[in-house]
Amino acid sequence: MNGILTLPLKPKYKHTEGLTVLNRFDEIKTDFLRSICQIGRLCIHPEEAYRKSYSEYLFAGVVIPCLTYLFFTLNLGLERLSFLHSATGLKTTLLVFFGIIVGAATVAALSAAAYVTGRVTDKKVNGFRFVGCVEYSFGIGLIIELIGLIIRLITDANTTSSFGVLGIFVALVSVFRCLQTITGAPKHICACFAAVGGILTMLGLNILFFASF
Amino acid sequence: MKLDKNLIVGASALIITVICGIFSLGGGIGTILLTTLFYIASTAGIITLYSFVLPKYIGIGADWLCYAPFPVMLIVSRAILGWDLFMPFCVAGFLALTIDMYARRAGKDKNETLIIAGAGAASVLVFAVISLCGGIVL
Repeated sequence: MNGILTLPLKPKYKHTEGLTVLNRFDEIKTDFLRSICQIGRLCIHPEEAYRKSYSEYLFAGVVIPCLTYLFFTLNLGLERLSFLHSATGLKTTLLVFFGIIVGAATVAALSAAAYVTGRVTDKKVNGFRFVGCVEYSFGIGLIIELIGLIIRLITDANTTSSFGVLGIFVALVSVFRCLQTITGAPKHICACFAAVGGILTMLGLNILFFASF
Repeated sequence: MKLDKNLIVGASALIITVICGIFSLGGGIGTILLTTLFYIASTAGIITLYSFVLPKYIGIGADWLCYAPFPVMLIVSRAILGWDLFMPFCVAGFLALTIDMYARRAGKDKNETLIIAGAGAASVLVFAVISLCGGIVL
């Protein structure tokens, strides 16, 4: 009798537990997708990161430029491996790590240049918040770098100078737009900032191109 | 006729870009002149096309100051850093122009993500097709 009573209860309990787990999974999935959408939106409109609480998306913001430079240096390292006899896997790994450091330094340099531009134009720019804008500006660049790396892996074509450099420059375009939107500074001053920022970025790339790893 | 400062900046930037590009490939003075004319005409043509065909999605005209930093960077990369690159600067400058046109559009209630990605990609594609049709690969 007990068995008859417990039999229908057991599957029901399991089913309910399963449903609860499924609901929780759905919640996590929905939250995850919502966060991804939010990060995607910030990558396309990085100026919105200036108004947001930076701690909310700190992790994603830091990861985006690091990944962009990681793919760029990986592409560069693969190119070196294909034609330089002295290049090894260890040197390529070192180059990739060095690239991540250069990426972080570039983000800091661009933020500093934006801060100085803000001071010159008497528009207050919160340097710390602007770091978030610069980081999310690398979002489109990250996709371009990834496409370049995939094309290299499939076709073995040299995509470092085309996709690689272009991805970094596209990030610069977004930073330029951010500064213009946030400070409302005249366009010729923003253009000067973009030129200075671009030269700083190119110096970083130059270090990577001629690094003796 | 009063010359627009914006256009002068744009034309100078485009001329510098093309001359740097031609020198990286090694061309004569005739090639430089012809290519410069072709390049300016095709770029202006695409901007005009966008302005008239998609006025609701794209702002009218182009602010050439957005393009100006890239020739400066191109000169620095060639003269100081010794790079022999051209296309990334050209494409990034063109994307900057397109994104600026999009940002200056009249209405802002459209599907922004799709249009900003689509306009940038389409402009680069159209530019590449026109360059290939002209037989010039810069």
